[in-house]
Amino acid sequence: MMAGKKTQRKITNILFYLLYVVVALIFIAPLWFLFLSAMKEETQVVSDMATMKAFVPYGTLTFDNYKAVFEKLDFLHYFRNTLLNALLQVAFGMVINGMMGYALGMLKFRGSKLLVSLMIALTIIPTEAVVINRFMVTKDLGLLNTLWALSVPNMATPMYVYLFYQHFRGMPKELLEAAVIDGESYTGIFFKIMTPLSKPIYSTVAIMTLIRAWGDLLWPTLVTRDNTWRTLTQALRGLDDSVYTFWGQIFAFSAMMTLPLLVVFVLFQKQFVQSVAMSGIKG
Amino acid sequence: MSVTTIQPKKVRKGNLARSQAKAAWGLSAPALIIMFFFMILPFFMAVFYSFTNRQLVVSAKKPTTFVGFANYTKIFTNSTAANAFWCTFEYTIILVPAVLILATLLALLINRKAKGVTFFRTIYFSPQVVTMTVVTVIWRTFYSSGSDGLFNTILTAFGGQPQNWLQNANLAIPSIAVMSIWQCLGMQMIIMLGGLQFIPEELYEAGTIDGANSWQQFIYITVPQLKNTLVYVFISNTIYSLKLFTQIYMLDDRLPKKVTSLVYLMYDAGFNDKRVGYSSALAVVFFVMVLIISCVQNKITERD
Amino acid sequence: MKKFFSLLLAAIMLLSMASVASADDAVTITVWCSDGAETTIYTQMWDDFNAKHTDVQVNYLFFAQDELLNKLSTSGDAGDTPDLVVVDGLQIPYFQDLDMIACLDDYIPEDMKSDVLPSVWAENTYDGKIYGVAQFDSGMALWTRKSVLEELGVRIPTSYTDAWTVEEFEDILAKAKEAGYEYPLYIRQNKTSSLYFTYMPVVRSFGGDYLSRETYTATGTLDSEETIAAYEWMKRMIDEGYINAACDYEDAFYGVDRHEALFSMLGHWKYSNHVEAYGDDAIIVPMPDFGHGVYTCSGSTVDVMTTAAVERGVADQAWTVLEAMMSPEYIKMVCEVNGGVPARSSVMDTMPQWQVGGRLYLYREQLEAGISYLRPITPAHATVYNALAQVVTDILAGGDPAELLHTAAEEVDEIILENGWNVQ
Repeated sequence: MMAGKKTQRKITNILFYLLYVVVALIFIAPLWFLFLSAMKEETQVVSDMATMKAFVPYGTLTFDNYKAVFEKLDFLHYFRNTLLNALLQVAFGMVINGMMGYALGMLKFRGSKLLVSLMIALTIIPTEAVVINRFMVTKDLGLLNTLWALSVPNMATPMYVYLFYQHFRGMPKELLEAAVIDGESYTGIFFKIMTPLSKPIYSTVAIMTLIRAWGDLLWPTLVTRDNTWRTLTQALRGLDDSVYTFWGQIFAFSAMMTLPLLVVFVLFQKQFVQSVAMSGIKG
Repeated sequence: MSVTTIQPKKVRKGNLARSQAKAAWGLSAPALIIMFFFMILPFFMAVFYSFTNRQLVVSAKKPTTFVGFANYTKIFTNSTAANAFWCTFEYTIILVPAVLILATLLALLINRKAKGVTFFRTIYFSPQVVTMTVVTVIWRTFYSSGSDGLFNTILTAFGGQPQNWLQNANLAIPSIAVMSIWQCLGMQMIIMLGGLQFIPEELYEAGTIDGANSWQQFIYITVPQLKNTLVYVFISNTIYSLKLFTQIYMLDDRLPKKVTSLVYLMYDAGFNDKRVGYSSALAVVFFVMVLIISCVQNKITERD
Repeated sequence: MKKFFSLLLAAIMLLSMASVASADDAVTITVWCSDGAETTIYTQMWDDFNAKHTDVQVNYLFFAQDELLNKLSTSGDAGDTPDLVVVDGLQIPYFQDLDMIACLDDYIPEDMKSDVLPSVWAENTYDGKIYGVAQFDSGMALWTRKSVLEELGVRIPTSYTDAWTVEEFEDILAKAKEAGYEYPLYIRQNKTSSLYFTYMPVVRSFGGDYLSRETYTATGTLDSEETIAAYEWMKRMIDEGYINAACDYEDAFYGVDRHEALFSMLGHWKYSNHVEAYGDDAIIVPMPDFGHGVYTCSGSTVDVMTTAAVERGVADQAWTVLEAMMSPEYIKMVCEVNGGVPARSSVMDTMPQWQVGGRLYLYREQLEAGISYLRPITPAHATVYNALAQVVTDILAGGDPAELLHTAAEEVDEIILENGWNVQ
C-alpha cells in the first residue's frame, strides 16, 4: 500500500518533469535556432532556414558572422548608445514614475482621481500614430540628435505610474502619518521611507523599462540625425536591404543584441522573480 | 513643520492638506511635464490635424487646409479600415484569454516545490528578453509555407496538410497571436506566480480538510484569490494587444491584404501614403474606442 | 538604493562622453546613403576621395532605407537636410515634387551626357530636366542554365531580338517540369515587393502598365485588360504548377540540392550566388515576348543633390563629389563589387563581361538599345509599390487578379488624388 503510493508519487513526479522539459523546449527552441543559425555559412543559413535542419548543428560552424558583427558592423558603438538610452530611461523612469505613483496612491489632494483616470487614458495613445507630432515637439525643444531626445520622452510612462499607484495605495497609511508626526516632509517620506520599502516594484518596472527601451525602433529612426546616437535596432534594420538580405549577419547581430538582456536576466532572475512576485501587481 | 497642541485643530488640518497637495503636485510634476510634451500635446495636435489634409512634409506647394469630417467619413466607409478593426479585434480575442489561461497554468506548474524549478522558470521567461523585431525574424521562418517548414513538418507528421500559415487570411492572425503569446507569456507567468504566492497556505489546508479535490480547490480558492492579478493581466494585455503593430510591420510582405492592424494602418497612412490627416483621424478613433473598452472592462471587473 | 543610483549616473556620465569633431577649412559635404550591398565599397570610395581632396571632404552616413526616408521627410523641420542623397531612384520623385532636389542641368558636361546609359537619364529626368546621376543601372533578364537547355534541345537566344515567344517559353517550362524541375520558374515570390521591378517587363509586354504615363493615375491602367492578363498569366503558371506559390526561400534556382527551378526571374544582384553554384553554366536570356514586344526593366540607386546644398552655397563642392562618383575609376570600383551595369559605356568597354559575347553582354545590349521600360516616376511610389506587392502576395494565396487589381487601382487613386500627385 505504502509502496504503491510511493511509486505513484514517483510517476507523477516523472510526468511533471517530462512536462517541464517539453514546455522548456518550446520556449528555448527559437533561441537555439537564432544562436545556431548565426554560426552557419550564408548559403547554408538560407537553405536550412525554413526547414527542420535549422535546428541541427552540422556543416561548417564558425564564429565569422559574430566576428563581422563586431568588426564590420561596429556593434559596440550602437551597444553603448542602446545601453545609455536604456539606463537613462530605467534610472529616471523609476524616480519620476515612482514619485507620481506615490503622490497618487498615498497623498490626498484634489484632482488625484482625475489624474489616475488620465493615466489610464494616456496608456491607450498609440505612439506610432502621434510620432510625427512628438517629433515636432522634440525638435522645438531643441533636443534632436541628443541622447535626451531618445530617452526623455520615454521616461514618464502612464502604465508604470499606474503600477506604482496600485502599489503605494496598498501601503499602510499609518506609516505616512507616523512620519508626518516625526516632522518628515512628504517628499522626504517618499525617498527615505517608501522607496526602500518598495524595492520589488522598482525592480519590476526597471526590467520592463529595460526590455522596452532595448527594442524601440521607430522613435530612434526619427530623433537620431547622424551616427552619434543610433541604436542597435537601427543598425540591425540596415542589414535587411530590399535587394539583398544578409541572414547570417542578421542572426548574429540579433543574437548579440539579445545576449546582454539574457545574461542580466539569468544573473538576477531570482531577485527579479521574487520582486515581481512581491510587488503583487493588483488591479 | 513643528506642531504644537495650542494650534486649533481645524487650521492644522488645513495646513496639512495644503502641504500634502503641494507635495503631491511637486512629485507629480516631472512625470506630468514629460507626458504633457510628449503625449498630451502630440495627441491634441493629432486631434487638430485629423480635421485637415496635412501631409507628411508640409510645403508651400501642399498647403494644409481644413477638410471637416472627411477623414472620419473615410475611416467608416473603406474596407481596409474595417479589416484593420476586425483583425485587431480578432487578435485581442485570441491573445487575451490564451494568455490568462496559459500564464495561470504555467504559474501553477512552476509553483510546485521541486528540484530544478528555478532553472525551468528561467527558460520559460527567456523569450521575454528577445525584442519583438527579432522574434518576428525567427518565427517567420517557422511559419514557412513550404512542406519542409517547421510547423508544416510537425503538422504532416501528425497526418495534416501543409498550411500557408501567414498567407492564409484565416490563419494569419492566429499565427501571429501564437508567436506573440510565446514572447509575452514569461512575464505574465511571473506576475501570476506573484499572485499565487500571496494566497495563504491555510486556505488550501482548510480545503483539503473539507475534502475538496485539486480542481475544486483551484476553482473555489485559487481563482477568487487571484482575482486582482487576473484583472491586471486581463486589462493590461487587452490594451497591449489592441496596439498590435511590430508583428504586422515586420511580416507585411507575407500577409494577405485583409490582414492588417489599426496601429499599422496609422503608420502606413502617415509614412507610406504621407496622409498625416487621415492617420491622425485613425488615432483619434482608436483612442476613443480603446477608452470605451477599458471603461467597460473596469466597470465589469470592479462590480463587487 | 542611493549607491545604485550614484553608480548608474557615474556609468552614464562615463559612457556619454562623445567625441568632438575637429573643424578645419575644408567644406564638408554631407551624404546620406542607403545601407546595403554597397556599404563597404562606398566607404572605401569616399575615404579615397577624402584622401585625395583637401578643399572638399565627404561626411557620409548610412541608414536603412526606411530610416533614411523618415529622416529625409523630417529634415526640413530638423534643419539638417544633407547635401547629397544616395538612394533608390524611385524614392526621389516624392522629394523632387517638394522642391527638395536640385536640378543638375548646368553641371553635367556633354561628354558625360553621351557616355551614360539612356536608361539612367530617363530615370533622372523630370519635365525635361536632369535631377540626378547614377553609377550603375540594373540588369534584368532570365537566369537559367545553358547545359540543361541544351539537354532539353531548345533554342538559346543570345540577344533580345531573338527572345522566346510566350508559347515557346511555356513549352520549355513544360519540358523542364518533365525533366524533373518541380517548379521550373522562380520569380522571387518569397519577396513579393521585388516583383514591382521584375514583373514590369512582363506587364509591359502584355501591353499593360502600373500607372497611366499621362495622368499618373491607376484606374484604367493598373486594372486594364492588358495588365490583368499579365497577372492572370502569373496565376495560370501557379495553377499549372510552374511557379511554387509556397516557396519562401531565396535559393530555388541556385540551391543545387533543391533542384527546384530552371529559371530565375530577377536582376543582376544574384550574380555571385548563381555563378558560385553553376559557374559558366549560369547564363542570362532575354525575357520572353508576351505579345507586345520584348522589354527589360532598369532603375537603381541614384545620386542627387538637394536644394539645401544650393541654399547653403556649396552646390559646386557637392557637384565635385558627384563628378568624382561618376568618374570611370569609381564606377568600375563599385560595379566590380555589386555586379551592376556600369552607367558609362566607356567603363563597360574596359570590362570583359560587358563585351559582345561576354557573360552579361545582354544587359548592356538591352539598356543601350533602350528597351528598358521604367517603373512610373511618381511621388506616389511608396503607395503604388506597396499596393502591387500586396496584389502579388494575394495572387500567390489564390486571389483573383482582376478583382485585386480593381481594388488596388481604386485605393491607389484615392491617395494619389488626395495628395495631388497626379498630372492634370
